[in-house]
Amino acid sequence: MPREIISLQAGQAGNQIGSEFWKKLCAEHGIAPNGTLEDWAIQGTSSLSSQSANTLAHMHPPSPTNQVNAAGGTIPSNVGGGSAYTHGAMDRKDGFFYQADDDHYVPRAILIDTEPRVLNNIRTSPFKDLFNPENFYLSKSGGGAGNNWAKGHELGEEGKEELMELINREADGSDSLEGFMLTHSIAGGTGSGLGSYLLERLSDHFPKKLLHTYSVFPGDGDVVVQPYNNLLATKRLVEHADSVIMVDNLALHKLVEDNMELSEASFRQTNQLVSTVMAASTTTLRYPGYMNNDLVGLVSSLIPTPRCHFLMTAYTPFTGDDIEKGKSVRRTTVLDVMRRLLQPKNRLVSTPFSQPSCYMSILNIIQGDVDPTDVHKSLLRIRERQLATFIPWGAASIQVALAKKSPYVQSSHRVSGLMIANHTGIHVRFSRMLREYDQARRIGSYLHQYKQYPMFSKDFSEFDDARQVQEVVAELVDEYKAAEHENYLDYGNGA
Amino acid sequence: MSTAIGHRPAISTGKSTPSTNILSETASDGYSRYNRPSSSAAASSSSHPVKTAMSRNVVEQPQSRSEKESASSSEDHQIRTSNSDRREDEEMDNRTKPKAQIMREWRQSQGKTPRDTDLLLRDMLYLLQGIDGKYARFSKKSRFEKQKEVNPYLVEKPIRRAGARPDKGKGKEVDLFTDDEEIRGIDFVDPDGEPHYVSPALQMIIVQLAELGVLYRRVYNYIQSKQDPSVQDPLREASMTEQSLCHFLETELADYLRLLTTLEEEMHKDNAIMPGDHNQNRDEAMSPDPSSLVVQQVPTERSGMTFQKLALWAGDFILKVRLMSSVVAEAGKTRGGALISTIYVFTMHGDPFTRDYSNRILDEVSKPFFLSLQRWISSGVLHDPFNEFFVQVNPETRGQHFGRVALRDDMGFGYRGDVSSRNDIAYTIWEKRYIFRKEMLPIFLNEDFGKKIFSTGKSINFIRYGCRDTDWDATERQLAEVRKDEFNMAFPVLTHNDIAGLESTIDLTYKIASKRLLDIFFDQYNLMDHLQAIKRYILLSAGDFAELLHRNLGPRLDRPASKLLRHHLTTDIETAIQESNARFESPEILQRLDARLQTAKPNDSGWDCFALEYKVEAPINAVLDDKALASYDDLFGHLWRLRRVSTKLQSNWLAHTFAIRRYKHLKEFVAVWHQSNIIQAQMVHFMSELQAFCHLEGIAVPWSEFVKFSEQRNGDLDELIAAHRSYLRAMSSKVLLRSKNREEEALFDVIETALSKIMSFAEISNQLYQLTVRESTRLDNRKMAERGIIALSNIDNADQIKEERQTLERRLRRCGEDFKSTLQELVYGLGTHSNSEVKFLGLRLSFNDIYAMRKTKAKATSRTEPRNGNTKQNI
Repeated sequence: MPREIISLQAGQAGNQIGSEFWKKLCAEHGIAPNGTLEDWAIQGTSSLSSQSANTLAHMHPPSPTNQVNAAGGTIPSNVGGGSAYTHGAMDRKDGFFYQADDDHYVPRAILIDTEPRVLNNIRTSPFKDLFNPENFYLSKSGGGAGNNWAKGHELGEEGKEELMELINREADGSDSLEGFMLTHSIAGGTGSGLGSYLLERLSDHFPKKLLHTYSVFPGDGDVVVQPYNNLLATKRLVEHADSVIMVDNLALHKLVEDNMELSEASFRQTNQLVSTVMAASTTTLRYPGYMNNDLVGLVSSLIPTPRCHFLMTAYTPFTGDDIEKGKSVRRTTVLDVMRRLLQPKNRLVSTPFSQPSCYMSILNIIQGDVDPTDVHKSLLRIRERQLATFIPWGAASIQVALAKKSPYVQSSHRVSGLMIANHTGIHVRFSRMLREYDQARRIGSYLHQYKQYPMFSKDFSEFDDARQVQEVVAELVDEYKAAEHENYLDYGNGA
Repeated sequence: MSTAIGHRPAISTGKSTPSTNILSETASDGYSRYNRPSSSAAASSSSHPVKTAMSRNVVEQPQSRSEKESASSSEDHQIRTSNSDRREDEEMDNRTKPKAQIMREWRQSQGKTPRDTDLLLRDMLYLLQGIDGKYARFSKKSRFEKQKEVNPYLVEKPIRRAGARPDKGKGKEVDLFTDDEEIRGIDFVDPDGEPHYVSPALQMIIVQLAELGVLYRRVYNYIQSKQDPSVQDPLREASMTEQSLCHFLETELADYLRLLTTLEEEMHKDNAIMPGDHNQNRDEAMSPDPSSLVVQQVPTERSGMTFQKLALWAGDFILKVRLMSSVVAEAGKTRGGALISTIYVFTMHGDPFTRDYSNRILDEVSKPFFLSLQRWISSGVLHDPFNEFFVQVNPETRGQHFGRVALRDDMGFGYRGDVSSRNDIAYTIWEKRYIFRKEMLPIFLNEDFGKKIFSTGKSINFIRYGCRDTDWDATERQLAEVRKDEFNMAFPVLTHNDIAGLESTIDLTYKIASKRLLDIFFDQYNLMDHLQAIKRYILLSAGDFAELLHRNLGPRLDRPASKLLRHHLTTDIETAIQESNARFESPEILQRLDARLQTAKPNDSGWDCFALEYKVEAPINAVLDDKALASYDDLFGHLWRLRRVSTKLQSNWLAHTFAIRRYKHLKEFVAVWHQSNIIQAQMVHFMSELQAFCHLEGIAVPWSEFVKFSEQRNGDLDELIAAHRSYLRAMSSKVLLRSKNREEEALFDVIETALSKIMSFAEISNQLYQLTVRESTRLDNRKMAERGIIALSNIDNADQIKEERQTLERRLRRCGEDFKSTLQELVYGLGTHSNSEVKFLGLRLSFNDIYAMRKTKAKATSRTEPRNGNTKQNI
């Protein structure tokens, strides 16, 4: 009974990143594109039938009649196999997958879009049999949201019944649902609008479940109306999501271009990068270690106050293993990796971090064959060198979670690391968002596009109400700024 | 001369010939006449020393001697008569006599007859055997006299020595002076009343030669005491070493006696060719006057035997006997290996003769030792009936039965109970069964080497008795093979001369045996799998298992301990196994995981008395002994508590942190929730750092060191046990802050305090949440009442809620402050901790210097200066 996480992917970006993510997961768990286990990964599977076979094995020798799943027989019958000591494949797939009647692994994923293109791509890809076909949700119209948040939101409202039915079914299929993981972009229409709608519904329906999102923040002017979309979606992220891992398109491209021998990065590559980060951030859930084996454990130490839940990530090294055409490997030691994670150029959020900004918390997930003493030494070194600045009002540190590397994925580097951090400097990103919105709003451009939808039909109160959008984001910026100072403890009194 | 006659049969076989019978009669005559009690028993004593030795070694000798005796005894008469004849002819021969003769005659006339050298020579033969002669006797200082020296007022009483040999009805032992008596020298006596004269030169020679006799007697006594069959006490019985020493000594003494016999023969050589004298002698023997009867068995002057010759002959033996005597003196004090050590010291002697001779002694004496050694290192059997090997069965465990412990196929029944019942056997076999006795280790083996031998045998013994039959078979084969390759024989002969060879043999055997034993532990009994499993499940390294176990057990353990039922707990453990990755573990391991309920005190909750345990049986429990399991128990207790607290905190975080977003409109609650969140964040940080420290620095680091040991597999089982112990110690010192320093150990209580603060915080936070919900409902109700949807309730408890909120706010603040000061105390304590690795916990907790590592007056009050000012940021 693992803590299941249902993955929702909305919109073009969400689905593209999502499908890359699932590919990565399949590779790491030795699951073939059709959902069956690869031969080499058959040992130590977590199929239900093997589970029952194993239960029986407690009382009887493994019975040869159990032919459905080869896994039942491959479990070492005596301790002397040697495998028990190394346990290469001690993974936990069932947090993200469930097994169909024919033992195929099916991702706990719901794919949502308003236009068929991306979903059709997935349906025709080699991974077409992986997903549950019922879990593809396409709006009736199929005409897309046209980069309009309001339309996306509206389409969500339209498909409410069906969507909630899908989600409820998925949720009922899990024993102890821990939360949801939404992958989307906040610039466009579907990911932003429909994604926002989902957040609202989910936080209402599942108040005790974690709402975790991977949100792609747009670069400069991908979409004309993005200042509106951004702000509207961000409001939902502030109010309804529990933790948001921010991925900045601008930073993504820069990162890919820096690390690849290319002048311009393709979306495919940036998507691979994001999915790498996603996969890395869930390693501790999939390869249980002594700590951080659930999402709550992972994010609770990162998020001190409810509003400050926008997390920044950094990843290293980006190599050809994860992304096409990546550069060759550098030396990777724990210290190198941890040091590099603190460097701005490896971050997935491009914001200039000004002087008083500081880390509220850092969690490093180090993957690979790591000598525990190295971690110890690296932490000492980083502290000595004061490579990271922390909040002045409370204890904060670099927490390190050691995670196994998948035994099925060959990688040319020894250690890789992901940093998830809560940094106050992130408010700069929201400030910019507010500025862009202000500019667009002043001109009043494209507002008419929103008028046709119920939410905005009467007036723009959604925008203008004091308690609304701008205010919410402004408060967020404010709180992040306040957290840079020691008197943050009394922040609540002032507000 | 009855004494002399009396002694004769002692040398001979006694009543074997008619002539000796006559002699015995004369002896009893002599006894009554001369009243010499010391000679009385000798006549018939069958246990006479010389006889024993002779009869054993020189079988035909007594026969020939007794014949000779009868001859010589008649010669004695002849000599005596010839003496008296001589006096008559004195005047006649005076002129032709040499000066010496004249001198002698003059002395005789003065009443001082010189003692006849020949008589003395004969006495000398007795003296050489440690027996008093007729004219020369040992001058003894008796025990009483010695005591008298100390206390002159003592009065002699017939004291029967405690350790005296029981009287066997043959009268008192003749001449067998005991160690109590001190030989002062030789007394020359005149038993016949006539004063005789012995020249000082001769006296000196006699005294010098008599040493041999004293020493001989000492050695002889030793052998006797060791071979006395009447000694039943096993502790006093002659041990193997002593037996072989006795054997050697006996052989040597036989040689010595053979020499004496030869000498005696030499003395009487020419008697036979004097037939005339012979007849004369017989006539004298028939003489009616008994008082004039001087029966003397003296060497004839013509035999050519002199004291000088005697000294020359005996000279060779004097060194030997001296050495033997010193060995014997030492042997009385020590035994076994220690005795070998003492003898070994003699082999270091500078004199080549002594050295060689000591080596011979050592060869013989060390035989049983090397036999024991060989059996010990080749088959792990302690063959040591007299406790003289340097390995000995531990007297504490002597009574225990060490059967061969085999895993029984129990068909799934009774396995667990069985395991616990013989839980400690393997450990006892290894650790307690044998002890190493340094004092019994021969000094030519140094202590390390001795330890190695000890360990080798122990390993083999353990394989033999602690493991399965097949293990031993395989080991034995392997040992035999290697021996064949190396030495081309079944087993090399071990001697003290070839220490290098011995070392190489033992090194090799040690290597094989200990490697083999480690292999058995690691490969056959999968020690690492068990330890890994313990690390995973008892030390909760398998987070998924721990989490599920916690989730399943949590509600049960919240109830009072008395309500707990063990079978519920085992079911929950089973469920946790089935749902976590633990299900891939082999059943062999999983069936060892079990719940244990410690005896509960009246108010204990389930948490206080639940423990997860891992069952081990022989031979694994040689490593995982009870003490080790107890340490694991302690570790589990703490880690389990940590998990409980952190789970509580996390669920608190999950329940409240975001839920309060919907109550944002309750303005007066915003501040208190913010405060709560901040405190919570501190606690979450503390918990995650503490847990990370416990698992990473506390467990993973020592574990990786232990894994290194297991990969190298150097050393023997002792080193394995030591490595495991240090692994445990390292964990305890970091996870439980175990330390020699009481103050440092007290830090653990500080952690406990912090944990309890977290628990009480969760309680407050929960109350606060309920209050928030109540307030929200109240406002909603009021709103609805205003709209007239529902009737306004009579009591609008706004004030009450406000009051409660303020109370909670105060409690919260205090809780936060307490927690902070507790942490400050902890970090400060850790800052000065002697163990740098434990110190690191302080660094982890105060990574951004929020808690002062050192007490400075300024720091305690203000931390307003963040490091931002002076550090260049790399960000």
